[in-house]
Amino acid sequence: MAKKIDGYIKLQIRAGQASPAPPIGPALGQKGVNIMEFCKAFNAATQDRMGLILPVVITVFGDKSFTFIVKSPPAAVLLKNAAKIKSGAADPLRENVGSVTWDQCREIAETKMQDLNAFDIDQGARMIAGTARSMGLKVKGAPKVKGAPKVA
Amino acid sequence: MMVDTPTPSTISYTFACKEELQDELIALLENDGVSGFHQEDSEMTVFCEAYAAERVAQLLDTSLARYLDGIPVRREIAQRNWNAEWEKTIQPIPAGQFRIRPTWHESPVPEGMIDIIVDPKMSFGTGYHESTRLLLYRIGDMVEKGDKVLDAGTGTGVLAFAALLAGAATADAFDTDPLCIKNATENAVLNGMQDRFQVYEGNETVAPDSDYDVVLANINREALRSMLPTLRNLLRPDGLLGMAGLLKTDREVMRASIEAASMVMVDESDEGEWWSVWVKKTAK
Repeated sequence: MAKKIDGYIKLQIRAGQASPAPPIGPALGQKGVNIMEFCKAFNAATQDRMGLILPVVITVFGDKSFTFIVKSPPAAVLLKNAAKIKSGAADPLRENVGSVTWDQCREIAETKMQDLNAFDIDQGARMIAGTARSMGLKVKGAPKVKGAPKVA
Repeated sequence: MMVDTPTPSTISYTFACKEELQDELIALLENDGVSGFHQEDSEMTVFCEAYAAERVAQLLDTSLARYLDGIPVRREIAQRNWNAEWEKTIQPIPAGQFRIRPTWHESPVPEGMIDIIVDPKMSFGTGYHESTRLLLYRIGDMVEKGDKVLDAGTGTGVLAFAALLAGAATADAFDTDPLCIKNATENAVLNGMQDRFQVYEGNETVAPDSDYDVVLANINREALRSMLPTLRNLLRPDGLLGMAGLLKTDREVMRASIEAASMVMVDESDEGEWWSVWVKKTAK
């Protein structure tokens, strides 16, 4: 018989650096989960990507046991690393804080393909490029979209 | 009586943010001093060290304000034993010839077993994890009477205490986490081993000797690979190093590192997805 699920905990934390401090301590502690066991398992599973912010979804069962799934880094984190910027634009419509290339958008789309609601890499790359622009990043070398309205 | 060392507080900011915008906001907020994020539907919380709190607050108030629906609520989170709820569920657990129990379980020791008392708080090493048990299973065979032992990344101190119970004369230990230093010291007293156990705060460079008979290290693959040359130098010739915190998938990478460090594998075992190895120092 499947174990009863007590709840889900969604965190974004640094790979290979989990510790019982917040946010992990309070989030898991209040559910009665063995925090140190989670830290050991998470750090072992993510040590190849040391320091990168990674989303993790922890399923806590009624008997206080747990499982977790580590997802790929958010596209925005990958874009920020690709553009080598520290923060986004205050007003992305008027201000550019950096740039990424279309090829970088495609690479990120490939990494994130499982999480994207896209039919192919090009459609995924267009979604990634949209995220880049909303962060205030210019996208260089993006293909022109057929039928797009002309801007006066 | 031991005085609690004040530990720096964590600052958190909680606010509403549309789910589809949260990843973008996280990317723009994460930086030095930001330890992580907790997401609950359209509410999220950013956690940061005290020194980074002002910068995070300013970002949320200015350039990143467009991501927020409402004003962030600031909280100061004092350090405490977050593992207290889990600790209430701990039962005595056997691991080889040892039984590990917290102070509040005083049931009789099963025949042929030796008790180790551990109140873990927020340190690793309770016997509940495979990596701890894998080393405990072998310590009785690897440690000889009168040995001098070093426990690298000691956590609760459980491996060092097991080595002392297996016949070691003294055990030194180190850990980079001040909470573990305090916890291991308290646990040494609970086991009556405070005269033979000494723990140091820091990494492998703080070990006071360089002729240990046995070194124990339950950490993780990358930490162990980087520490391996130093741990080798801390051993006497033919000394033994027991390593855990490794996954079965780490075996080949570790084997190459062990050979490169002029050491030879003498024993290995696994439980679940975890793997442990004992290696001997050989002449270069």
